[in-house]
Amino acid sequence: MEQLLHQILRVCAFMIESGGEISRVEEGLSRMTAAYGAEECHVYATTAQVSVTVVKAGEVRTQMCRPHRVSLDLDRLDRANALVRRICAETPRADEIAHELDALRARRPYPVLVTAPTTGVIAAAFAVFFGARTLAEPLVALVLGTALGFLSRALSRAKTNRMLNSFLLSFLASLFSFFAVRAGLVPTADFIIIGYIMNLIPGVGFTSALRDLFVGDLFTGMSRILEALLLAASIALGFVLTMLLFGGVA
Amino acid sequence: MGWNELLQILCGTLGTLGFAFVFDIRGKRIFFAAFGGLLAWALYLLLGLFLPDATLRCFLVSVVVSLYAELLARLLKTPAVTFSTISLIPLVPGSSLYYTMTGAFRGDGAAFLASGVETLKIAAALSLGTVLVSTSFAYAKKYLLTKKQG
Repeated sequence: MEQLLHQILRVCAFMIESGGEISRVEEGLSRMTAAYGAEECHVYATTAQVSVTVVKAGEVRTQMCRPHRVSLDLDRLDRANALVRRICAETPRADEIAHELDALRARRPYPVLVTAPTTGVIAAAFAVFFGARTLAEPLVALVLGTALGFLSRALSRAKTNRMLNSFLLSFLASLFSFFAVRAGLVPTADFIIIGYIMNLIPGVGFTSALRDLFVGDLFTGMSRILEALLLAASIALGFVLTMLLFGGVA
Repeated sequence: MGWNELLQILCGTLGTLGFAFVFDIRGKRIFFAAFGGLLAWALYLLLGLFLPDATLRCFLVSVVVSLYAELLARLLKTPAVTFSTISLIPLVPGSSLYYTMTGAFRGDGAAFLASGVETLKIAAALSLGTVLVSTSFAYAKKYLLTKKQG
């Protein structure tokens, strides 16, 4: 039972790391322990910790698990969700769950040759979305975004500080956009910068933080809002640094 | 609807498609998530013809897109967040969150406050729409289950 509970908790931590909602994780944990015959289940989950106490046949067990580095990965979340359903339906042994979970952890995200050009496409698309009306602007955004997409992947591989990464990427993006203006390639840097920034800015994170608050997961919501604000601040600081260096080109 | 709007819808959809890759969606779900983005921005512009208030429009679009996401979730056996998160990306207040912070660093209090309020309003409207739909679905499911057993 000790091992089984540990593996179930690992599945929950994995869901949180993949960006799963707290309510989904808590509900899944209750369902899984109930499937194995637990009479009582007390769950508390935040983005930093999952704790559970289960009661089965007079035996009481308490365990916790610590999720690390949350980053939204919908494919992983989807597969973890399917695993939870399977665990509830088939109640597999602990080592089987561990095996399945390790297979999920080993799954690779899209290769950098896909994600880097995607970063460029997003930058170009949003540059036009926000009002760029020359052909040069999305083109510069595409090249810039793709180049920084490679750098971004390298930085996240190295597991460097996220705030620092965002600061650096936003600094470089604004720097090169201003160079492009100086070189006469584009009329203004604004749309290229905001197009690329859409890749960095935690707009989705901020919105889902508010969703956590509205659902009633106040601690998680607050910590996610704070994280989003700090990330946004580091990104803005990168831009402001470029502006200071260039003496207010913007 | 002019060329400007068409271009916006096209680029919004392309950006949404990009984010489907960033957030690691696989297979045919990519198409449905991107189509949701198209739906979201087209609806947002359409509602703009008779609803000037952006917050209210965002809330309505969020409700519709969340319904779309819940339906797809049941059809494709995938968590609804897969579609609701990605499809709402054209509306997500990324740019105003950014302008809030640049306003702060520039010492431009007016820009900071205006963008900050905008960010909060839009994000609250979007998340409330999603919460409304997803809890309604959860309650409906619970109600149907107890009815079946009772």
